[in-house]
Amino acid sequence: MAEKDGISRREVLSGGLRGLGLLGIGTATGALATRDRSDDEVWQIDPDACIQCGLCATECVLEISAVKTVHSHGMCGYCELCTGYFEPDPVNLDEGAENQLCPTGAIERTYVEHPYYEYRIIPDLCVGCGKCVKGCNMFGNGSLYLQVNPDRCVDCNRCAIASACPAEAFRLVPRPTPYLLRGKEGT
Amino acid sequence: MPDEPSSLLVATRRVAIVAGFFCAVLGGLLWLNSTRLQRDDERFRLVEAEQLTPLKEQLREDPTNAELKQRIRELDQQLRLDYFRRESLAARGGYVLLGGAVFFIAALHLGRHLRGAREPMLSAKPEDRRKSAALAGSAVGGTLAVIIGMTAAMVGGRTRQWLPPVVDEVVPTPEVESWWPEPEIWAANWPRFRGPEGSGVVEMPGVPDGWDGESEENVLWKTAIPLPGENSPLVWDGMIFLTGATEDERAIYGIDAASGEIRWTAPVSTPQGSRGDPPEVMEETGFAAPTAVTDGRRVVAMFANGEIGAVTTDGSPLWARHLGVAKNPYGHATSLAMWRNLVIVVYDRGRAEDGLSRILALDAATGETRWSTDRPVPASWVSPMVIEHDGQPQILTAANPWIIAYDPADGSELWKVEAMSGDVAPSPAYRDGVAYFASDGSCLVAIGVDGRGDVSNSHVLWKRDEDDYPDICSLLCDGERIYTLVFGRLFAYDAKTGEALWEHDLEDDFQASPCLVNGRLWLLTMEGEMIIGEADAEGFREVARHPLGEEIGASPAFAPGRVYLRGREHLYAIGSDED
Amino acid sequence: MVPASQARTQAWLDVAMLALGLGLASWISLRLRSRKGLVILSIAALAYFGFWRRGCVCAIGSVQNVALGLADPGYAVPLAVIAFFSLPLIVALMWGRGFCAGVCPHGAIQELVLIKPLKVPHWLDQPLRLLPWIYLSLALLLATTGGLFIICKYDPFVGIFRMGGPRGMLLLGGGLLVLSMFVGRPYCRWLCPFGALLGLLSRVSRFRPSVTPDHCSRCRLCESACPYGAIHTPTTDDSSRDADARPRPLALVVLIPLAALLFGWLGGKVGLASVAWHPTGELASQVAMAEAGTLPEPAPDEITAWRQAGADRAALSTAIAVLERRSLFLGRLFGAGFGVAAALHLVRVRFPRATADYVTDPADCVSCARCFTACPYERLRRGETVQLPVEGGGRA
Repeated sequence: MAEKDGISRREVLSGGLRGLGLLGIGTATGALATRDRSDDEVWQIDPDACIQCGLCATECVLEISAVKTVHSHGMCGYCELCTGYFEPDPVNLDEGAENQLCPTGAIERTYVEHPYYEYRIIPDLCVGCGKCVKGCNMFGNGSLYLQVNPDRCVDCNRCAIASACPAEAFRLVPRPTPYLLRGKEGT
Repeated sequence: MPDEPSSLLVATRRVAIVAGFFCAVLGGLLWLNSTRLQRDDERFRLVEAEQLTPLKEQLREDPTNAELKQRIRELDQQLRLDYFRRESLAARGGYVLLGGAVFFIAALHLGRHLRGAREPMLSAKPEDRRKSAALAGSAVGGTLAVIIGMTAAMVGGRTRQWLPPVVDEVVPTPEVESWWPEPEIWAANWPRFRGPEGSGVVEMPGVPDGWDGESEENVLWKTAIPLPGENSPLVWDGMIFLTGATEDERAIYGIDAASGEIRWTAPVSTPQGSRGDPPEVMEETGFAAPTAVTDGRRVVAMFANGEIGAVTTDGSPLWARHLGVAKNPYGHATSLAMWRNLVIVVYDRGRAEDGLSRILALDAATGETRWSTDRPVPASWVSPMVIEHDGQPQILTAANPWIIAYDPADGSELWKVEAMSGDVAPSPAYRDGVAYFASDGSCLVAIGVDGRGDVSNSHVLWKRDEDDYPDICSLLCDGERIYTLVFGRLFAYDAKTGEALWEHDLEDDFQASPCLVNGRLWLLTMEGEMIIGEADAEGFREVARHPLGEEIGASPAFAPGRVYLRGREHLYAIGSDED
Repeated sequence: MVPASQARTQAWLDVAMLALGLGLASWISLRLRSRKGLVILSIAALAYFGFWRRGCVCAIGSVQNVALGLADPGYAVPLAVIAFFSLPLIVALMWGRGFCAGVCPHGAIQELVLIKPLKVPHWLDQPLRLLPWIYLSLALLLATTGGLFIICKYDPFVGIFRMGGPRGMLLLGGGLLVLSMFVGRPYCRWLCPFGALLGLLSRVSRFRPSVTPDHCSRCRLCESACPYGAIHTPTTDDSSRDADARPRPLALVVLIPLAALLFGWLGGKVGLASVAWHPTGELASQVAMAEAGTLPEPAPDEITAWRQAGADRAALSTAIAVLERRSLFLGRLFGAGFGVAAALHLVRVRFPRATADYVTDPADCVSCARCFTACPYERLRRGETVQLPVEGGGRA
């Protein structure tokens, strides 16, 4: 067999395979790229599916989780004894550390008028452990709930918390509307 | 190349050593720091850290100890500061470590560069291509063999026994058992919520016309029911059946109608039901709000945790099942119905989009699912009603937004109307081919039941949405008028036209459903007072009030010569001694 | 929050940087033949795609999105991810593994810390190169059946790029980096699933680097300079050139179907077993345990969540049945794919193509350009003074 033929045959073969490869990549890309898509998507927690297991605080790839508690003031009952704020069976209904449920002191409680108090989350201190959410769901109406903070989220391809979430409460939502909010207000 | 390394090389080496040492030490420190951070207690259960919990316990015992409080506060602050300090140390330390690593690697590269080009490795013997290919080929082949062997060993012996067996499979039976109590026997008893027809309308001979719970006038007996429940009593052939439940106990009771003695207690329990978390219920609803059903052979009862159980009328257990956790904001409260040998269960749960709601027919003898139809609705509280029109039996149901009628033989939808909104709870009324539905904040609607498919635009006879409608109390129809009980007021509407006729303020709270007994309205207040009155096109005329002295949520049950009232704690049999 | 438009701009900037990087890497390695240029490009890529973009979006992980997108019509793959998947592959078909050379931050970080490369013997290197194919097949199986992205979950370097993460991830990354100081690119060679694909496509690439610009004296300097075992001794004498490669077509024809069948069958088994790792499968086995009363108390969160959601047994059973069918099919498919790749690999290693001079193996070469700086003729071309080696010094 002449060497020249061997080489040219190999080149023809490799050219053919190359064409095939390009065709395959092109087809797959085309099929995926022309698919209906709402928009760029981000991870978010469905508050109705969340069971407050606490993994949001530990599973996030960030040192301090991108998940934080949010508060729907429109839903809040402004209770004097807020079970999201106070430990079960608190000694006093005051802001003393011995009565607070939040491990980082991230909830601010202010007097409105008797017997109503306003509760505010301090996002910088919240670590997303969900203790207050669990407390609120126990006796309240769930006005406290966990949400991924899009400012902090680094948009992992596959969210590490979503992979660990026992309730499969994480979903992809369109980036322009990155929250799954409760209540009527869109705070 | 000089023997003595150049001063630059020496400096580079020193930088490399220092940087390497620095990285190793800093890396170790950060590792230790992260060990502390990753301890669960530190990471997000700060306050429960070992030192704090005992102090808090101590404070509960001694709540006025100001010094102890102060200590807790200081410790709490200390722990929190430590936590965030460690977090910021981890964050900043990472950058410093990266910087150190860059120095280290750069110094090593520079060092190698300064030492000059490597000696060409011409002395070593070049590889023999054939030999090396043969060796590498064997190694690859051998590795593949090992991969095959290991994979086969890992997955080969695996069986699928970890899969749960299918339990809720529908067992199709073409023939539905046709046994059915004689109509007159059925009508003489009180087999379900709101009487034989589920309508609250009944002709009952010898119903007592006066009693007083406190003085025990005309009270034949009064029996304490061990477990609480809002369900209404059933009456069949000298026996009374009702249920009670708490968070972790559920039971059906069989009570002798003559003596009031609890003849038997049948606990209902399934492994799934008792292991799952108890459902969240409102105090007013409780864990045993659904009224049971009986056909004279069996008593079937459902509870708020999703358990349903059946016993014979003498209390021997037949079957018990768990239909899934009730996802219901107030607690599951829909009563059961029966059609021939099928127990009809409307089990609406969660939100419509959860897809959890369904209507099932269970074989009363075995508990097997005969059919199951999904319902596109959220949790609801309307008890189903079985009617028959033109020879076609129908199950009437209502929820947000669909009012649906099903064929009890196979669960297929006969007709539906989109009308309701919000939380839908009052049970319907039915008379002469027209079904009436209402719900608080929604509407009052009359629907002809002879349609098929979506009849929202064809069979709605009339619809009102301008006034208040009941939130709990069922509708009542005497053939001419529809009566509703709304927040202490009695309303009457013309059944044909829907025209509002009158309203009468009773100044009481109602939870029990109104009844029409021998042509008179019987309205039971939450205080336990029975208001009896006559209504016509002009208005309501109160005839009598009989106090019981105990709060009541359940609807009354009637038997010849008897009224049974279930108070919060006791079951009362009312009747005159002569019987 | 990040406005939508800004986020999209960011995604397009990433794609533009990727395209630019790929172009530069190919141009530098094939035309400029500059090691220095590639090092600078690597540092830039490490800084941008690694530390600045924190390792996400990444081409290595994109194979999972693309596979899931192809398997599940309801899953929309973001356009940027599609670009990160397809551009490096297209470039590999044309100009080889330029992506590995100067764009991939994972490659760059290993490349930059390589201080004193030790030679990994051919017989050890080549079997280890089967690992990426196993990893790829398994990752595709899990991604397509359950949306479980193991490539992302077990990525060794993303924790370093983010300056924090699970300790296991950081330890693995740190360990690999220390290893990378002495062994060239351990992740790229023996783990990277995307590298395996790039290597496969590079075998038919249109343009390839040649070590020497003109003449090869077989001095072996390039071979000893290559830390990745991608340059081999040429065949001993010209007469045996075809003899060595002659069994190739036959071996391919026999081995490919055989391996596809065998591994397809085995893959089906793995597929069925993988249901147990799937979240739904895990839940089902826990439910089974709970009912048998063998589940330790308190019940795991999964069970709590399931009960709270209605504890629908029938739906769970159906889901498991569907998952099993799907896993069996996809397991067979990816198993067969692994079989084909393994057969191709085996034949390539056992029956290497005859070469007269020292050339790079296109599948294993990551275009690092080290061989250029080692080649005396290349240095001569650049005008450096070199002592030319003895002709044929590298011949056995």
